[in-house]
Amino acid sequence: MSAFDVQGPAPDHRLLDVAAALADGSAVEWPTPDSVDLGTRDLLDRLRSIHRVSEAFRRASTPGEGDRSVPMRVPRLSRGGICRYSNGWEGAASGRCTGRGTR
Amino acid sequence: VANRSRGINGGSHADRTTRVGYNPRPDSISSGRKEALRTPALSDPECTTALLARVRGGDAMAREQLLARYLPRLRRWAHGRLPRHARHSTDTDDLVQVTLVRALNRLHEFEPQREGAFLAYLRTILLNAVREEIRRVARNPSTIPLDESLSRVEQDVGVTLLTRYEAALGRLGEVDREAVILRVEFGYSHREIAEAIDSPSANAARMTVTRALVRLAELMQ
Repeated sequence: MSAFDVQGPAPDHRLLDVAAALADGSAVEWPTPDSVDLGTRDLLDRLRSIHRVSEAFRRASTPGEGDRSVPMRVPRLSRGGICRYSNGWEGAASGRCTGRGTR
Repeated sequence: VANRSRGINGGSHADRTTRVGYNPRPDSISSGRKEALRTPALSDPECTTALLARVRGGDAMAREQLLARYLPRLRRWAHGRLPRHARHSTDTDDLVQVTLVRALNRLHEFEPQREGAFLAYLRTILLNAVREEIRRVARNPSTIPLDESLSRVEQDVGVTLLTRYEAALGRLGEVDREAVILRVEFGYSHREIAEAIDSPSANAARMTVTRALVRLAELMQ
């Protein structure tokens, strides 16, 4: 049964506070384990896992973090055999963007 | 579509693809409330669903706009999901670009009602492409060191946790799933999520994400 089912017990507000902090990307104040019931503690552990996943995606998507920066050149418009990228770079259409539907 | 053309759901993704990257910490609660009061500019670029309709009609310019809008986001996402050995920029670019072009070629098979649905669709086919790439390499495992066979996200959280997350995500309702994917994996702001899932405001989208995260936790085994 979901914590939001009308007939079920109201979810612990601290659970929602943690989820809201995760949604906002703000600092999470995790309740101490002994301050919540077992069911809430279990859900908090799972939210912590989701938080880890979220942070992993953030790190993996942040240019400069980790082992290799993400290429930021964006094929934008291409006309007459020239590929134009969002950073102002231009290259001949014989480059990598040819044949990919962006020429 | 007419509603979106006025800019209510139009967003400004075409611009944002070039000036905003991953947006991991965009909304404090107060800024979210301010956003809810803000009226989208009428000059906002055309929304994704309108562009998709034009692509279906054979509009090449709309196709390029969609490519420019989604390639950077999908590249960043794929960068985290590809194994290290396949993470070279050329490989990531090729995989993402080919996947996106193929998706646009198959638009007659899928008509997304929202940007969130379209991005979730792209994510699914890109994830399948990533898995196919992993399988392809696994057929000749001797060439790849073990530590290069995992993606960055897998290295960070472990394969088991990511599998639990994926399984729970698959059991969420459509809108909840889209909200989680947009926030957790693509770093959309609440305002962007509101536009993508047809939510009336950034605050409403924030509440959707909050509740979806709790439901996701409930579904994680």
